Amino acid sequence: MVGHTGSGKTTLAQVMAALLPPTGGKVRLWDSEWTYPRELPLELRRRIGFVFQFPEHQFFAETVFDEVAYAVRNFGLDNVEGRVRAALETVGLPFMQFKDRSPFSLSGGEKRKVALASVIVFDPDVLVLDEPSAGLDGESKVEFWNWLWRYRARGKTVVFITHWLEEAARSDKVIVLSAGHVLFYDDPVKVFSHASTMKRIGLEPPLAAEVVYELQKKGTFPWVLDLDKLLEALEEYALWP
Amino acid sequence: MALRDTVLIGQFVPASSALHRTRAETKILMTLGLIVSAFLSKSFAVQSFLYFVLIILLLLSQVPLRFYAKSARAVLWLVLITFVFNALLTGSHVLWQIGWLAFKLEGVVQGAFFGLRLFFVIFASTVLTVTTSPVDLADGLNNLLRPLQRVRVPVEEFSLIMTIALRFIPVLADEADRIVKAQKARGLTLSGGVMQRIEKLIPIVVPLFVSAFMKAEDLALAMEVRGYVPGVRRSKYKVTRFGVRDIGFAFMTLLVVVVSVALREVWTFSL
Repeated sequence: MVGHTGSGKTTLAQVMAALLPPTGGKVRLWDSEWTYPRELPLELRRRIGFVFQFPEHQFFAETVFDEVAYAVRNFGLDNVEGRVRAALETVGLPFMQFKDRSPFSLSGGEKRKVALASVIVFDPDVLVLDEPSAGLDGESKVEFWNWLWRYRARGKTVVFITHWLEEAARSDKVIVLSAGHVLFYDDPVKVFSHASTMKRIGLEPPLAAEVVYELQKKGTFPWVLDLDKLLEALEEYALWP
Repeated sequence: MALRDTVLIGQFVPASSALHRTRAETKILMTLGLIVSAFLSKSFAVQSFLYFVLIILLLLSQVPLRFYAKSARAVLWLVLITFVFNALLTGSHVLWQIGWLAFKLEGVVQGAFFGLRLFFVIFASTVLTVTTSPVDLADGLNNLLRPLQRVRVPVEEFSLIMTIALRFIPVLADEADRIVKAQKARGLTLSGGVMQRIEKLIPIVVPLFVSAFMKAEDLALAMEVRGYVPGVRRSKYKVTRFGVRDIGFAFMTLLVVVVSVALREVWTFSL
């Protein structure tokens, strides 16, 4: 999900996760409909994971273990220790080394990982993330995105808000929001081909897309978004020595 | 979000009415005068007179009545409880009996009087907060309390603390809303017995405190780098003077107090 600041990304994400009542329309989650102010039943709540922007601001427990175990206990799931261990290892934090530390004493990157572990610990079918990589350094960002793609590979749906369009380009579908409306909801290739519109609403397209725009002005060139495919296409069209 | 909608403190409604343009000092003294008048006597005549004055003030403020209704709703329960307790516990002439609960005539009269008085006090103070921005209000208090500086009361610091506290109510309300949602997403449900509920508040209260402290530290640093020195009297961006309007409202307040004192024995009720 991409869009300029104030375009409604966070609002839409929270409505999706039945955390915010819609002012119009309906929220349908699988076979049931969510009507505010009815609380979402726990068994449905369990299927949706929501990661807020700066999720480490919601820490409260004395140890990393308790922080991550919070949701497991709330949802009344079995095998608390096994789940916490698996979640921590998934985000790359050795269980024995971290379980007894205070979540407040960790580094920024580690905090973010614990926050993510505290959500994936209940294995939600849909994971919604509000700018999950904000405030992370370059290396942590790459590590994080790799991890997110692995989670998706487990057959999960991942919805995320980002300002980094290179990453948006790797998704199956891109939602472009502008001033509270969905402007596009389509394959990334199709979305980013609307070059002028994207630029008009202040979104800088991925690097590969920029190159393709320029080449298409000169002649026929296929629409590609990632660098590898761009290189292949350049070779194919004999534009690459 | 929910908290911000219901708590009117610091909910200034901008307009350019006569009341809005009056200095905060005048309005604070006027509110005090009205409240003192209300507590002076048990006279229904004074009560009616004060409500008459209040209606004039509400009209003068040019603020839609729903803003006042909100704060009235917040104390509705308090007023009802006051009324019921008075009606049950005072007097001897039984008006109405349900089992061992007996509503008595004297109590009903007294309860109605106290209830009206409570509403009056709330409305009178709401006139002040709705027509005065929090910053002006803190400034006004600061000016009124300035004489206390001679006895080394840190008035400037107090008024700054108050301004900041008022300013941060909506910020913390938003933060609380975000935290509640985040914990709900992790399966928090606010049901169960009293002790269970209190325990369930920990995951909300702890992060809220942490964030409040972090914000306080950031704010302190931001103020320091912009040259804030504690205790120094700062100059004002907008300098306003006392004018005809202030004299008018001050005179009106004096009149209200005098009339209230004069009427204090008229149409009273006795215990």
